[in-house]
Amino acid sequence: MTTQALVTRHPSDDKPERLDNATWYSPAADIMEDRDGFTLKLDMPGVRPADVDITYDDGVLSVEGKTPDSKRAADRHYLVHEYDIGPYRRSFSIRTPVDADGIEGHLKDGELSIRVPKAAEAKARKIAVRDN
Amino acid sequence: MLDLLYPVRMPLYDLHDQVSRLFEDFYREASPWMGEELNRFPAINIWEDGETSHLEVELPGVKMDDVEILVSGNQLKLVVQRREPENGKHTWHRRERLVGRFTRVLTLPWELNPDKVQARLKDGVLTADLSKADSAKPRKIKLLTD
Repeated sequence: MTTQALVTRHPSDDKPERLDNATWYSPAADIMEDRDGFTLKLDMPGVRPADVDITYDDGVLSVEGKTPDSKRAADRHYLVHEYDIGPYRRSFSIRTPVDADGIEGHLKDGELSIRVPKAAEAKARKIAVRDN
Repeated sequence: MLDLLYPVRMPLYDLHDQVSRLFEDFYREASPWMGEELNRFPAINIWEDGETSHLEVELPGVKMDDVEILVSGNQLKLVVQRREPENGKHTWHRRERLVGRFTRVLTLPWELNPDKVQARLKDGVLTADLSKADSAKPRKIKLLTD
């Protein structure tokens, strides 16, 4: 297994990205790998569990999240304005064969955790050495 | 042959030096800015709505017990602890989310009423209504006639 097993599609950048005449934000992500799979943690503050979409298609794991009040936030009279509110979108390319049916997402306190189990053939196995 | 090659190689070395210097300059110039960005965690918005102002802070993955808000005069101090993800045997591929203890101090243009600050933490967003202190509210001035 190399450290290149998981590659992000979009650059991690605080600046919003413009697609389809809409602004999307790339959520900050932690990616961990263990023997049995990958764990991704993404910062998606303000997103409710019902407003998250996770899809896996042909080696690409995509995450989208909608924030409820992005339009209202634009008209405010700000004294301190350090972030903008808008939908999140990010994709990850996974080169390791995974068990697509076993992918699970869990959103709590604005933190999305995704567990991606490896396919049986991709799991690390101990090889028995026989003595002739 | 060597003599012929030499003048050709020199500009290439120069170019290499120039490119290295360009990168060094970039990182030197970018580092204070990157530091400032780090100090901006967690990100804060404050907006005004008549006599009340509203605070909004992005705190994904932070528990209520790990947030402290202190109000004194016109200063608002926010202390936040974001904990490490659970320890286990794993390899890191990417680590973008900051962890640790963060303090932000903001100075507002008016005094706040600490008794009327109410804060909520929902879906990783902290919201609070910040009421102005009575001394900071506008008052009608009586006009005296001679």
